[in-house]
Amino acid sequence: MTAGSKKSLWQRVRRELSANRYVYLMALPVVIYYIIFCYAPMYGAQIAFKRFDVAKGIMGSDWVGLRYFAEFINGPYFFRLMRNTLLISFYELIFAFPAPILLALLLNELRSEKFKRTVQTIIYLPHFISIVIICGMIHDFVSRDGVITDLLVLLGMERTNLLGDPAFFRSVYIISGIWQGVGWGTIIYLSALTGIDPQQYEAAIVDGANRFHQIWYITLPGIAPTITTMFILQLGKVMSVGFEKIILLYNPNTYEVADVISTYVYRMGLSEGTQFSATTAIGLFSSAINFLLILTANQVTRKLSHTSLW
Amino acid sequence: MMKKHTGQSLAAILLTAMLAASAAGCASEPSESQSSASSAGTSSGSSVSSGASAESLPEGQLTAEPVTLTYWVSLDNNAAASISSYSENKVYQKMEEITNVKIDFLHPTIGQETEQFNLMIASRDLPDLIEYGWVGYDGGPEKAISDGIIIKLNDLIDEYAPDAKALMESSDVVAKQSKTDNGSYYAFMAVGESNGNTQSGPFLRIDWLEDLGMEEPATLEEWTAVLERFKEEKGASIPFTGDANTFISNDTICGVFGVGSQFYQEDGVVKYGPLEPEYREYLAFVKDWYDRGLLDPDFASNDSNTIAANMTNGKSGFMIGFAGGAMGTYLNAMSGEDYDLKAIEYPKMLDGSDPMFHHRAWEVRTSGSLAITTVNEYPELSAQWANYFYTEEGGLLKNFGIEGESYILNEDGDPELTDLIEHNPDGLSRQQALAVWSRGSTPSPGPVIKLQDANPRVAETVDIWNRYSVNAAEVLIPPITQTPEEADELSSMITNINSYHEEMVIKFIMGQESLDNYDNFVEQLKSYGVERVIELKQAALDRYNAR
Amino acid sequence: MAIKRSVSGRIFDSANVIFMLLMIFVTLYPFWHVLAASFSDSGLLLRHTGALFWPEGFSLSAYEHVLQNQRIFTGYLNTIFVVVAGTALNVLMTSLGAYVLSRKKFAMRRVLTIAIVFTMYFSGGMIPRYIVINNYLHLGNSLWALILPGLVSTWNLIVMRTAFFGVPESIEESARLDGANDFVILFRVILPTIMSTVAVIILFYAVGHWNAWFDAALFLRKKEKYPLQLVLREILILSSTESMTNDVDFVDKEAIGESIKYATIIVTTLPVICIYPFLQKYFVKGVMIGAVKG
Repeated sequence: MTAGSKKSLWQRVRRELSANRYVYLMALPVVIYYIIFCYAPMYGAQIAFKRFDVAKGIMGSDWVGLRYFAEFINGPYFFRLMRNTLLISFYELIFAFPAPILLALLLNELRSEKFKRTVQTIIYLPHFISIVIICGMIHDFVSRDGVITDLLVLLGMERTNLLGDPAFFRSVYIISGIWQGVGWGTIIYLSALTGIDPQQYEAAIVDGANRFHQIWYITLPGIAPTITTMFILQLGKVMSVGFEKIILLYNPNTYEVADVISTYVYRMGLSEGTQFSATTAIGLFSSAINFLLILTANQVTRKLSHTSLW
Repeated sequence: MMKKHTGQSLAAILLTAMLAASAAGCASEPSESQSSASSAGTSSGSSVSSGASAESLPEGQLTAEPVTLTYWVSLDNNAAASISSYSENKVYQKMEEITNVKIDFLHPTIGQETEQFNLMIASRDLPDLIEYGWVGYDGGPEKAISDGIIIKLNDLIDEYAPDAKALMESSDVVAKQSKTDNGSYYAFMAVGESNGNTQSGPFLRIDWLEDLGMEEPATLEEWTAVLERFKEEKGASIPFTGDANTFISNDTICGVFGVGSQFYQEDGVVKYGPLEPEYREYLAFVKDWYDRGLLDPDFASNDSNTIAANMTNGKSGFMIGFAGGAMGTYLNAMSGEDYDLKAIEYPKMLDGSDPMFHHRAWEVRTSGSLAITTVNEYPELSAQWANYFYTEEGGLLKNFGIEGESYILNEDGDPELTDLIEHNPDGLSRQQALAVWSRGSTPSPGPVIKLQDANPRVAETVDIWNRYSVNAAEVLIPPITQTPEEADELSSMITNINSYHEEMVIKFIMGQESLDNYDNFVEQLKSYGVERVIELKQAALDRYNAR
Repeated sequence: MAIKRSVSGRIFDSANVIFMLLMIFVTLYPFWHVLAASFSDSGLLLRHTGALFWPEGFSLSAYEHVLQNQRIFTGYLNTIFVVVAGTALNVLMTSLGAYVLSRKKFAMRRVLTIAIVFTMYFSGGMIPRYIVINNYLHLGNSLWALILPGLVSTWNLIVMRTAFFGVPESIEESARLDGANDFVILFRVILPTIMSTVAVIILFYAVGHWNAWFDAALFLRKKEKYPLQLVLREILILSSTESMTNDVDFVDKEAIGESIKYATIIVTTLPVICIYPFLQKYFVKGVMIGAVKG
């Protein structure tokens, strides 16, 4: 981009096109896909600023400006919904995010290849079981006479129904999430681990490094780019805590700690009328925050570790 | 070597798949175009139907040339257990034989009916006929007509569907519920003829009650006495079980105090239960049960499985629930054991008068109404076709299936189900068999006749729970429709009000919020706009009453 | 390596093995619970609360019932088609996209990346998407509606691109000197070196297709077209008794047997579990090829 080498725009375009002609050819189907299935429907986002009327369609409905955004933000539950959504995401980042990394590291240290493979196969299983069934089991286990409650009573807790008690809801939610997802989550890290050159370990052993040194100085740096990428992607989901599992676990007594944006939107859909406009507005609001977060995270990690999404 | 192989075979697989994709992509195109391609031309179908009245056609046949209509309806859960489309249902097979009209059924996924319906409307990719709870259409059925989704049926019904008209005008109540505020007919309705309007209510362990030598409790005071003795003498640790809805949205107990759990009417005036002082007494009453251990302390988090377990393993012996879905299920599971359940009447009001607040369906069921869409090329024929269900033979066909196979007429001329339904050889339950042989298992266009259940305990609920259900018409809010503007204004308020109400009711009962703060609760509800909601509902109710 | 094992290393190894056994128990339990419940007697199961370690009573009737259900089999066929065709196209498209986005000399790279990441967060919502797929592409009621709209998962695209960055540039440069164009470099040079990532991507897409039901619920109107998960989901919904609410028009529903829903889960999940160890072997091989090359 120095002033001396400045050529005409057309020349630069031609050179780029000819040097990367196959790359453009390869990009074509992918770009077409994104245009048709992702960008073309985006005109629909305008119903967040309109009062959607089936008869008039998305384009023809009347503009109402920021009305639905204002209703949500000024609504009585705004603060609580934001707090619960952010807290649950935050706990997930702290507890659920590192869990598969740790498990992958431990799996990697197993000596027997056969045992390792068996463990791997088994810990993937919960991923395949429907959330409805998983939640049914959670209900059973943490009820007044459930196994987990029994265990906690042995440790000195007062007997209660854990799902009925606001104090335990988030713990039950996060821990059961780890229980179901930790095995499946290791896949990506185990795959990254195979990319590490075995010679590095041999050299380290010759230098007298013990197991913990090897993990700290070779394994972790080896999968650091994957961890960073996953972390950025996870940060971009902070506002979108899913509703299905919470709906199956919460009750009016735990709304105080369990009600998140997506469950609120779900309940809105169930009450009078079909609130496409209001729900789109809330969705847009969440997305904007998510997108801001991922932009920031990307800038920060690019400065710190030279790994970034773009 | 190995590397090269993998790379090549991967590329080959991908290429083949790509080719397959493009080929099949083209092939799949024409599949759905049939219904959407047909353009307006609502009057052009008359030639076909005028042919129907001509002498040349055999009796009942509506058209000389076979006609196919597309029909969107959710497949009843009971039917879904054994068939995947109503085209396998005997009623429609018979109908095709008689009328020469073939129905091509489109079924939404169970549990996603609303999404699919909304998408169908928004995309305007309409079938010829839609069976749906049109009262729930955003802005009401009148809006569905003005939106150009369905057609107004008044003229068609007058001319082509005399039997449907007769049934839908058979009484004042039915006539009101069959029309919009402007007097338009918009669909062929499911009309409940007999007393099957209440299908849920209180029931208890009658074997325990008899052991204790007690009478069936008729007042809440007597309910409490029964619960106390269940707890003390029958070892029921939590004698009364239920879920959050039992106390949030069910009127059975709070109705005793003279108020509805949410919106209700008193002499044509809309009210909201929690705003009335009696509602506080109701909460104090339930809280007392809770404090004394008569009520399941975990009711707020119970799901249907927990309730089922409590009722069958001796922890509980008293609840409010459905005849078949709850009581029938438990009785089946415990058959052959020392266990019996019996429905009891809704409790008397505090002053000893007959119960008013009932859990009940309306004479005209709000679900299962059949509308003709604007793309339908044969509206007259469709009306004639639907009319058949309102004739005597059609009503029998629809409710009981085929004579001599799924039902017979006894000496009195009343239908009786055969063993094909009652003891199905393929192991289907009665409801499931009924759903294959008839449309009698859920509300559908035509008369809805509720049959006696085979289980005597379940069968008698019809009499016990319906004894006072007619009173409920005075207090419950009928299926009113809000205008689009009203609905839009309501929607933002109602979610907040409902959430807050649910939460606070539970907190008051469980003592996490003192009833001394009840006034704050009322104030808060008002700040969420509950009074405006009452106004809007009142306007809709007034329009309804003026129909 | 064995010579060097220290005492602390051995303690660590044993603790690790014990921990893994615990993991096996804890994560295997839900599956065991489902298995035990599926062989239980429906009536006894209804009464049961708490953990299940052994069937309540013993009955095969749930399996008889489930295996009679024709839709389980059509569901299998539909799902297999979607998994095979869908995954093949997914991997092709994702490889192309990831390759493009990993070209450091490609002028459009940053713009495209941001434009693609943008779609993870902003969409037009359900209705316009439905209108595009149903009204304009006429994919309604077709299995292609379950494949084409999800051809590229941006998440997987980014994962794959991260792996592409890890491939040493020297490999690519030597191939280019031999006259290879970008297609050859992608399919013959780069993909084989990151087979472990490709395997993961295949697994993610395949399992994604296997578990997916929402699009099927939106687009399919004939039950013969349903994939397995949608059949399973309907059965799960059918087996739950509705709790009593204050709807104006409520319908009493008869629940199907408790054990049937568990049997359905076993019938729909077991094949994956049986196939997986074989796939895993293949994946491990792929990984080794990658390692040798790297």
